[in-house]
Amino acid sequence: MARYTGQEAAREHLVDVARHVVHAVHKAPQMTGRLKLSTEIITGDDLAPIIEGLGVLAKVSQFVHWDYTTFKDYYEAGNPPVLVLIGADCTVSEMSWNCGACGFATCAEFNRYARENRGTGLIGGGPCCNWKVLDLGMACDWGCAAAWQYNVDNRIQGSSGGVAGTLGYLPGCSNVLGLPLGPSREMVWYSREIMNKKFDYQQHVNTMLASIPTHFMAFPGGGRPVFKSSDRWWEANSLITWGPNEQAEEKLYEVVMEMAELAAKHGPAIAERYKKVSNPGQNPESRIQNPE
Amino acid sequence: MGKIDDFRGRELIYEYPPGSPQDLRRREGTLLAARLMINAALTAPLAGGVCQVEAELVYGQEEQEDLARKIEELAYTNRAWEEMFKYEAVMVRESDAVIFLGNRLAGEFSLDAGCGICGGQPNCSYFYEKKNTRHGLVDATDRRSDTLIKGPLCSARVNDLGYATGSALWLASRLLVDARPLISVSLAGQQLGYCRRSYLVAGICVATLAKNPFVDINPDYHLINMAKVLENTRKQYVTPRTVTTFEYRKWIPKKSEEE
Repeated sequence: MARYTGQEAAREHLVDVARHVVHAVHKAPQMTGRLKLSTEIITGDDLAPIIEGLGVLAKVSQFVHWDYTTFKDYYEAGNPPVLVLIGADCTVSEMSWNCGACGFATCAEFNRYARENRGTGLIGGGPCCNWKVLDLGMACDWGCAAAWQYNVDNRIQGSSGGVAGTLGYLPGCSNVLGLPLGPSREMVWYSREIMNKKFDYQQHVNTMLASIPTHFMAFPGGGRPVFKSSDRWWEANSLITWGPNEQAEEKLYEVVMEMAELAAKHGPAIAERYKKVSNPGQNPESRIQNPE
Repeated sequence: MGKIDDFRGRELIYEYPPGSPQDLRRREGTLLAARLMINAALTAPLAGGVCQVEAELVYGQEEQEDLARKIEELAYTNRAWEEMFKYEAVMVRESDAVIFLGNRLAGEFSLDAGCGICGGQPNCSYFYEKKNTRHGLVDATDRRSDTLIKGPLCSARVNDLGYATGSALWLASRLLVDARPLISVSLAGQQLGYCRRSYLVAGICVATLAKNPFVDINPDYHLINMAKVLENTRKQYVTPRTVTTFEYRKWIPKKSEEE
């Protein structure tokens, strides 16, 4: 008779739940019936390059910073989440519906444009057929719901998925989303306790001041509205202003270059693994890596 | 006390004949499920948590007939649709209800995060350059369009509509209610003005019949389906009676002569 601690058993169970999740993703209903999904389950040490990449993006994006810190702290505490990657190539429409949602009159025109203008944004690639994107959304939602059915805390993310895609995970997919599962505890990805004391009161207030400036605006009729950035705001006389921010642009450029270096560092090893699983009889879409 | 004392009932529920009291009681159950599906859709994940999904629940013989006819009209506008849409018009007539989920932001208030999904650029230029804008604000009052949907759309918002649609369908599967998202219903519903503040609409047919009306479809389904078979039976059975007539009060033909 073997004995298991609850925590160990729960940690192993997350991989079982991840299997249910990828099953649900592939089983999800589709509007097009033509979306070819790829999924992968990342556990343990294999999370490290993705966490490293999140750390790079965190320098210019607050929501990535929160995801980065959550991943990193749980990982370093020896209790990491299991990450499900969900991806698909949404850049081709073979349906000939000619619906116009992409901005082109026909699917043929869109396909021609998309072939010649493939590119990547901060989260995903494109240009995309919107019905394929909608199907990918449905599949991700089924993944979330499947995890929730097993009471596993989860959150669909452009951050972890985008980094994984940049590093070369799920090759051939224009869009990759990440769905972290667990770790097993009450709240992980919502009301994140792990973020407690990471930012002080003033930093939280500063985020609000920067994110919703109109909420803190005094009488605007004068044409030069004063910004209520402190209790005695009438003395501070802070004005709302705008203009290019060269410092921010430089920072973004640095981060993009750093991400490229990271992709060069980890990319070959990741690509090598896809070569191995492409052997006959093994389907990369259904590959589940051993957590060891 | 009166109301409590009267709290009793007896409800027969059966799908046949269509439109009968027992069938309408069954359909009321479907509506309960459909309403819960809509609530599930509204709680689905959204980029930035921003409220943007509206829903419209449509049911009733005439409403469904209007929708089916619009789908049949669209069927003849695109060779890729013809057969599929004619089949799906039948499904709309057989459904108990139709749910429309729409995204109210996708064509006007984009996520503005440079996510890259719509155009593959690390900015929102693909969306904004094709819109009539001023100060980065989209003037959506010009609703003229040569296509059924006035694109481009913010694909991050479209992705969110996918989450919502997925949640509705997930709940349907948990309630063992048959439901299916259909492109024909989506496009026709938007044309008819359902979820009219939305820039993209997803249509879901819902039913609780013995046989799931959205699967196991035979060829020429628009010609060979339950409604058509029943209609033909009503026609065929009557005609022989008019030509094999007799006075049943005085003589009824028997199997053997001696009777």
